[in-house]
Amino acid sequence: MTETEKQSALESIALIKNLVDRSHREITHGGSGWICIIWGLYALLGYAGSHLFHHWHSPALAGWWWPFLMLFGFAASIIVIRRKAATRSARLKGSLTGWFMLFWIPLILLMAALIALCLLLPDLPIKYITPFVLLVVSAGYLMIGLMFHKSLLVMGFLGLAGTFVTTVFFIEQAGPILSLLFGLGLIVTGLLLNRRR
Amino acid sequence: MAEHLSTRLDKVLTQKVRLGIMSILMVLEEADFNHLKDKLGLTDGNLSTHLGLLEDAKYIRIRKTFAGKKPKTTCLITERGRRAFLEHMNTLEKIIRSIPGT
Repeated sequence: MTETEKQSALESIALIKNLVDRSHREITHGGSGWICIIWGLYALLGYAGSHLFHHWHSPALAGWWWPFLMLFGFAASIIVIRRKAATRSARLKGSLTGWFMLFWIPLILLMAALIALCLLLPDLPIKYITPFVLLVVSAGYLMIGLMFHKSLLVMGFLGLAGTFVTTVFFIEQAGPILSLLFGLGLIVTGLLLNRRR
Repeated sequence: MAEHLSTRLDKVLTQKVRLGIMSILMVLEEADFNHLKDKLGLTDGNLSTHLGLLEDAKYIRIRKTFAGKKPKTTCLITERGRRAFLEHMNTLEKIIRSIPGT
């Protein structure tokens, strides 16, 4: 056996390992990068829009802005899933839909339920709503990150730490700080997930 | 021993592009033509040639359908292809193990 043949066998194994790993990664979190970016933008635009409506003395519009934007978030997520699924295998289609169904829908429902709960509690000062929602959501990311991807785990940890620090030291500015942290955190995670594909 | 092992390597899968196609299909079971082209960085003509050779060896099955008005080519791994890939990989590992110091 020549040196070239030995080298070729090593290269073949490396090629197999690389493509198998990449395909497995794609099954685990394919498409989730763009979905993270969409919901990161949702957090940033949501806060910015609602802040502007409050500034223009339109609290009703500010209240409707988040659910209105959520419809766009859902529509964009579905477009991403459909576009990705159109060129891929049945296993990837299942994983993309599964990712969205298992991860994002419960998370969004959890956030909606928490916001509704906060609104039903008249004694809860409004400045505590964002930290309260984000503490629960970050715990969710932490748990799901353990199963799916370490980027989500890091995001959950940073979310918890950031919310804690903001609540203790900057509670008056918790809204803008946490929206920025949460939104940018999701966008960075999305970019990382896309880069690792 | 090593001489003997190298003759046991699958001739179809010795080529790196075909080995790459089979590696992806081992995980995904089926993949769209464009997905394979994108992942392996190949041209249409180059990929078609390699898919043709894999199909001739009955390692993959090619399914042609239409998505709306657009033709869609899907490649599916066969049981024979799966077995051949595993045997090829097994032989590669034996070759590597037979090299002192690896």
